[in-house]
Amino acid sequence: MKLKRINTSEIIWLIGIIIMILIILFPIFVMFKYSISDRASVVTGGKPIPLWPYHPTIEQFKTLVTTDRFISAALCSIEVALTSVIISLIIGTPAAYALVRYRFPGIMVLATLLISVRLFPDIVSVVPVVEIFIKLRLINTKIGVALAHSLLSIPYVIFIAMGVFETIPKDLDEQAQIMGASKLYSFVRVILPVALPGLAAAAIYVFLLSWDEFIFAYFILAFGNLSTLPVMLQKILSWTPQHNLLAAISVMLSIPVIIFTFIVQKYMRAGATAGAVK
Amino acid sequence: MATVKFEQVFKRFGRNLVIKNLNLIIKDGEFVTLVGPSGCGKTTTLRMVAGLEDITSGKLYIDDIIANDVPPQKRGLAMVFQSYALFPHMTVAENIGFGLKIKKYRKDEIIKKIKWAIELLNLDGLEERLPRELSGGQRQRVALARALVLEPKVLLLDEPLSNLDAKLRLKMRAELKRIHRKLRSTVIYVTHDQVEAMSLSDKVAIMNEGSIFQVGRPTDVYNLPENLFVAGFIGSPTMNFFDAKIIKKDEKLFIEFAGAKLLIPKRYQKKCANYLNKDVIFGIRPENIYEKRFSKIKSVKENTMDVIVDVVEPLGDRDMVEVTKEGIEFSCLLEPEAKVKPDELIKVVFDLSKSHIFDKDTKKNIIY
Amino acid sequence: MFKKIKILSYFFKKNLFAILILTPAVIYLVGFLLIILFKVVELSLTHITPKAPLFPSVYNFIELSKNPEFKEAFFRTILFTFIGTPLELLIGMVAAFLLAREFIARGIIRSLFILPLAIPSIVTAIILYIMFDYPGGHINNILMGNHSFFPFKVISYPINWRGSGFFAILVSIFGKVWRDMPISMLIILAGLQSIEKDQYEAAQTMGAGAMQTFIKITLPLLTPAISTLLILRSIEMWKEFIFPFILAGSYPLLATLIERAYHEWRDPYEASTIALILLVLIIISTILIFYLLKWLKKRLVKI
Repeated sequence: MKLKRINTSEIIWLIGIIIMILIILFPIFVMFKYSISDRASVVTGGKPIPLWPYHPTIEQFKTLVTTDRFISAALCSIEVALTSVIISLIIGTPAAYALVRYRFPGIMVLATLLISVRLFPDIVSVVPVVEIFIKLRLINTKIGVALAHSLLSIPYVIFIAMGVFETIPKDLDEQAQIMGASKLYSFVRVILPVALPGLAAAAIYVFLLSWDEFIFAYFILAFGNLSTLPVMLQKILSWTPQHNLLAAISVMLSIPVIIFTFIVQKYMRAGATAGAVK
Repeated sequence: MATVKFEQVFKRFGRNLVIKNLNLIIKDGEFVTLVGPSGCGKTTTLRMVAGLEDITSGKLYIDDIIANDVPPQKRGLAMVFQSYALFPHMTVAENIGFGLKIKKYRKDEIIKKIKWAIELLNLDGLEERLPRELSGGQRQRVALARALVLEPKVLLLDEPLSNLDAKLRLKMRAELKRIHRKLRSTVIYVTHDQVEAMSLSDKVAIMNEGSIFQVGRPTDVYNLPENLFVAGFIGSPTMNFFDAKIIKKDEKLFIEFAGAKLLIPKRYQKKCANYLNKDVIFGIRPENIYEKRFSKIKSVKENTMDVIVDVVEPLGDRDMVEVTKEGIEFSCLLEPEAKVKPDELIKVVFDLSKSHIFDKDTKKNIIY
Repeated sequence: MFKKIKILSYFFKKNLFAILILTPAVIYLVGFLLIILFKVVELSLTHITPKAPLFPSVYNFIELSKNPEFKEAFFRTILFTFIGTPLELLIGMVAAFLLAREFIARGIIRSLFILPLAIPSIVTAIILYIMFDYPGGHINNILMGNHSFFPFKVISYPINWRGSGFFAILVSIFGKVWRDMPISMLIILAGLQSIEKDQYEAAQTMGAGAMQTFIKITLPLLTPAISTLLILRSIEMWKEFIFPFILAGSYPLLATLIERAYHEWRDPYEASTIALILLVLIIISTILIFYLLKWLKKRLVKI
């Protein structure tokens, strides 16, 4: 049997793949490594920091889950994310249904407009939003952050839900209406239950978007006692904390995102490329 | 039970006029089929009755009340979609009970009615199944049960059999007929399959390009098509058409085509007089052409011609035979006993009393 | 006139349900956006004087133009965008081409390449903060040859990454590109998959080499994907906040200068002015890229 000849283009390809994998995995490896590092592996007194901790430990995680500050930040993150899921689904889903099912002049323009709101730079809107929130007493509140996050996520909900409703045949709505159901009844009792799995993906997407959002959360919560996890990370950065603690929080923040990203990968892609492909 | 009446109904989609001046009366308890090629406007017509499409102009009466602006919820009709449109998250019983629940029937009444519908359509034992756990035929019956349980004024059926295989389709056709005979409800049925239309309905309306070309009992539209389109659409195998000319010989009118002169029957002579020496279209069904030896009518010079057999397709009870005469091809249904073979020269007899002559410009049947 | 009202009332009646369920989203999104725009313009044109606020006034813009920090931030932002956008596109394209062929475990490698997208930006920034620490971060250690697997002494003294404007911006760009590369990759991969195999085979039967196929077939067919990417990703680059905020704190870009103006200078007016300038920059750049791409497309077709 002859050995398969490997040509130069395949070698270049292989090297390319390996370099890409190294570049992608190294920072993630560093995060996990630090998160299980003991003190001696971080504060080395001039010696190079080892690539693997001398004594791997889960001490940081233990400390974290018993620290009030961390727990309240995690709870705050969850609460904000769930609130923004509820707000954006309640507002975005019916709109998406109307945009898919009704055909009157200008409706496509409206759909494009609503979806492209997400292109508006967040950093530009953050100062006016905070100024308005100060007046509305929404500053330093969870609901304030959730409202701001909904502004970011409703366009995504509309985009994903439009895709879901497009897969549901119009016959179902029409059948329900002929049988005597009002439009509202047929939407709530017939279409929504059928759309539920797809909408769950939208909900997860919105949850993640809020979970790792930093800019609005930071501006709204900058000087208060409340923090979401990303804001907490930034806040403790200013006290030059130990790197292993920072890394442990980072891991806790990333794990839900990593898990759910791969569960709803299909829809994540749809979200990431929203507007790019018609 | 109800009547439906269209009065000068037009429907426009943007710039397209899809329904042109539709006039149709459907009587109480009648089974009426709208039949025509795809895109002829038959489904649009049905959807206008259901209230799913606006009527651009004209009037639609349901039970002598103008229904143009009545929303679908309030029309009291039922419809079976081509896709069945069963609600995928509801069981068979929930699907059937959906409309009753909305109409706020009492619970025991709902249960009684569901049971009635289940029995009517032989769905026993499937009550708790979800639509995805049913076969195509069962889904079809659930859709029908769901429509019938509401005791609709009019039952609308949009190609309900087209997703079934041939055998099941025949069975469901018979079932539909049985149910209609039992319930005597007004039915509007849409199909592109003319055989289905002929076998099911009290009355068929043949549609093309947004207009009704003929309305009548199945046998009437078959025997007396008003125009060229209906003649060509109804009947299988389809009617033969020839470019022909009406000529006069010995004070009698003959039809001349493919180098043959055939005598026009006495009762049509008068109607054809205006078309003397004019080009017309001559039409005759394959089953009205006989092999000379097996002819049901007497063969004379004025109804017989020599043809060459081209292709023979045995159908069992008959042979479908393609023949040519002077380069013109047509088909005839012959007795298998005639044992015709390709390239054979045979004599065929035309039953001219069952033939049709069409005006070349207006496409109307002259002898209608 | 009467007829118009009739048609309008018919339209509302017919589409009442649609209008009702669309309204909340329209009010929320469009309303929010309009208020934000109005507020940005209002704040940026307001000049606070000891007596009473002056409106409209271009005072904030004049003040800003005199501010050296603004000028520096402006140029850093341009540097960031002009290096970051093409770099992200390029790396995304390389990753897409690496994945474009069939091989064992392609699905796993593909998921691996998407992994950065699943790491929150703030976390990525924090990891880079740790990795590029001074003096004893991993990157400094590796570059100084302190590890046996890489025994080359590239530098003799550790680099203070966050202490130098140049390096700080570079590390920020690295972070941004690392984290968002999968988006470019996915869009280009989708573009690649939409190219039919026949087209390659046709080119090959006509005797085209690998390079020629790439230039004549792949690139032109990828233009729609690349165009969208260029527009969307450049907007992302202009407005990037998290990476420069964490990694280049002392060397602000326009986006981080907004934060500094708002929190350190306690000046919402100046902050809004910078925000408005950034918004205008983004709009101009988007329009320019759009027309540039249109012009390029015409030229490409001609050749």
